Amino acid sequence: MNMNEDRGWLLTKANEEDNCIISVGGLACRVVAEANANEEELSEATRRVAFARFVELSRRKLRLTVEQLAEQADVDVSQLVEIEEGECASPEPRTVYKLSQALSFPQDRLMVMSGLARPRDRRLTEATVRFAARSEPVNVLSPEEEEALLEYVKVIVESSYGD
Amino acid sequence: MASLVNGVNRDLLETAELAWASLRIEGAKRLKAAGGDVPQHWHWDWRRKSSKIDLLAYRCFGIECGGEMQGLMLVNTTNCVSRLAGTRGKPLVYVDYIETAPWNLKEFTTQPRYGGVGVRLIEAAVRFSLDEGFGGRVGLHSLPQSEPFYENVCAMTRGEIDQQYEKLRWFELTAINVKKFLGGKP
Repeated sequence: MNMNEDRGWLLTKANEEDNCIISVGGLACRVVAEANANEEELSEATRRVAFARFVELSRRKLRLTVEQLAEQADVDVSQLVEIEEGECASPEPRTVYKLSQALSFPQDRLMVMSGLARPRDRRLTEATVRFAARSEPVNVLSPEEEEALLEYVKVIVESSYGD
Repeated sequence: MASLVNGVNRDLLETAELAWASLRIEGAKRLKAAGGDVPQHWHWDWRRKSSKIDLLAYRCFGIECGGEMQGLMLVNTTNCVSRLAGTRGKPLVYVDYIETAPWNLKEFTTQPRYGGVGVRLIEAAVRFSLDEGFGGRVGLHSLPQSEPFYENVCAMTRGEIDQQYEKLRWFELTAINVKKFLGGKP
């Protein structure tokens, strides 16, 4: 690669450049965009786990099997299994509505937890992360799980929510 | 005597990072206080970032003088193509990252050590484009404070604002303007 060796040209250009800041977006923009996308993906995964555990623990608290809850809520068993397994990315609004009735839980709150509505309260986001981290699928609701569930429910009920 | 380093490796990037970091932080604080935009890569730590970036996909250039790196640039030929009418879709050299050492910036010091580092780096991008058979075409997304440099000093054409790149403006050096930038000596 042969660079321009004309000293006059370089001096002129250096004067024009005037030691100003030279910068581009390029790689920095893409790195930041990628990091943001990963963060969003993580929150979505966390929310899904929290919703799954919430439905499962609430069902067990009522001493219901999956089939019984599905029947009571009039929702498809396979969809309920998908929800409890954390594999349901976007449940039907009707399913969430029916589950809220069967679990005696405010519909608008459950919409936020299911991802169909967006939380405005940062406390709810933080509580969701904590809840997702603390919940373990076991047969009997342990006192710790019950405490975690109650704590989460308290935050959900007290928090504001958006559309 | 300044020299162009063609093929800067990870070690050189990290060495430059260490040498530039503290001055950059001070400069960023002053710029922010004055209400100016701070280039994002000023927050970068190449020691951490370079392990996540496949540097093999880039061609790295540096300007070395006095035993220190005075400026660095990463370009690639696969990210972007020409966006200007008449040459749209044609290959070009895309400038992914470019920076001059903070002690060469008048925003940081009243007596910058070396001038023309940015010009030399852009010239390297143009020469690389010529070598690759791209006619000297070079494209980039400019930060607002650098727009006059690319337009007036490097003879680049102003393109559209790009929403995908944090609303930065696209600039492109056309094959026709290569001579204008290089002083009639491509």
